[in-house]
Amino acid sequence: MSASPLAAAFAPEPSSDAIQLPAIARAIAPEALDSDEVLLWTIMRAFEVQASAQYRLHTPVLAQGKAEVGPTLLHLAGDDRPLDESILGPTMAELVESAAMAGDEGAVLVAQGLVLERVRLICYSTLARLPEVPASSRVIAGALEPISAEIVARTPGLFASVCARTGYKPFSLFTEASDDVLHKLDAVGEGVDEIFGERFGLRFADIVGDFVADLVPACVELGMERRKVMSHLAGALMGI
Amino acid sequence: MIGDAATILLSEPKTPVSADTTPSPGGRRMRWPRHTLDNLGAYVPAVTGAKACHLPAREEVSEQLSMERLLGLAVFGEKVAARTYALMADLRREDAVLLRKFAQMEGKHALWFSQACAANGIKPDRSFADRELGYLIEQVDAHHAAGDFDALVVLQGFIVECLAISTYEPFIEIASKYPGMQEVFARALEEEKIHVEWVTRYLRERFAGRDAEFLALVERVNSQGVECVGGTLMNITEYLECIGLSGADCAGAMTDEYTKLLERVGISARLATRNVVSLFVPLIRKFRRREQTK
Repeated sequence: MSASPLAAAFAPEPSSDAIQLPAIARAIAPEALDSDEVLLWTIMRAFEVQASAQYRLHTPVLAQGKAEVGPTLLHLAGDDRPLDESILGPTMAELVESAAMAGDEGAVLVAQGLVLERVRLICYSTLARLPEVPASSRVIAGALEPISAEIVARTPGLFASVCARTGYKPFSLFTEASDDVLHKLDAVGEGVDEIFGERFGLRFADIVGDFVADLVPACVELGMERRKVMSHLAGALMGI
Repeated sequence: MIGDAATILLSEPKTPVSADTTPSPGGRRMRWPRHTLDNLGAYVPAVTGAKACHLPAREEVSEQLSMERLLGLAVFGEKVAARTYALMADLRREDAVLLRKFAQMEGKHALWFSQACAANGIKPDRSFADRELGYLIEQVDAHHAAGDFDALVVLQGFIVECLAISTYEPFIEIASKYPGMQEVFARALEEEKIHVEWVTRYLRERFAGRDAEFLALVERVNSQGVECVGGTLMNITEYLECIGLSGADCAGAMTDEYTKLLERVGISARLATRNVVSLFVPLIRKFRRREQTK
């Protein structure tokens, strides 16, 4: 497999205080992963590389910790074919395309920082602890978890700053920038359950349950009404 | 500096492009399938056993039809609630007087709603209500036959009352054009809240310090109950929208009410939210596929 042009673009940069990917995760060889793990990390690579690109372009402060994530995952799972050939291909592609529509700082903070980064954090946290997940993938997930956690923790402050600076109402910005991503996120659920449910014990309902349980209080902290956030999530997930 | 491929990805328009030239999330040219009806079938597992939804085609939905079906659910749903409280009274002698009073209150709601319907030329749609409520009645009967009072409390308190509150509240806001409706729904809503208060207190005392046992009961009862009543909520989305309500707002209100109920019984906010969302996800999946929910 030839190296991606993006691998060079995402070469690690020195960072003073961002959490770095532990060497143990970078040292795992692609051959150590079985086919389900390769598919898993192909998916996560797609989203991580996209998130890194969007952070670097619109919220550079969040990109620091991600510097090594893209190249590491490209090294582990840089071939698209497992995803192409999977039932998850179409819905994951739609989700990536939806996230790609975030074209400014506020939208990226919502689509990535508040929504997809939180989903990644929950996935990593869950994968790192599921006994059915092979050890190498548990190590990778465990290494990525604190990096996502740091971004999730920093996002609300940045989001509040954008709202204050632009005059956007937090709930309006949140709903506008998250509606389609949430809808597309829900669409991947069946495929996730079918492929990773039995093998790894990863259930989409649990991921979304944790996601909403974490997101709602975060939105309330940002001044949004809980009932309105719940209605937005219900509507977006249902596609109504 | 970000590479060209990443720049393309970040600004990618949503207009379809050929599969061979689609930029990948990783920045390389990838062959992810495009989402046309022609090729989607190959990537979506066949849905077996899925039946057509009972909803009429969108163009058939009128305000009159919507009101007849929604009010049908309200009138006959209140009658079902009256019956459920009466069955609960059979099972718990120490609270029988109160539960029979609750049953009478629910019966009165049905009567008030029927009278308001008559005054506005609305004929509550019984056959629609029967279809929507049949599965709920089956569950109530099964719990009663098993002597499972706690299950009936959870089903009635969490599911039925939550649906009532989450739809009555917004309906009251828009019901001024139907003379008499606002008043009777507001009175009924206040009384439903009294019932929920009793349910909350009963469960808090009954399961004090036994969160896991309580959540197991809630999941056992409500995985069916949400399928039933949450399914109804989804099936009436078009009717709600037609009379000026938001299906999403009602669904959000129902999940929020349900979550708050769990919290009031003593479950942590995070665990409560997680529990509720996990219950609703399979239902949302069915809604997305336009499958029958029960």
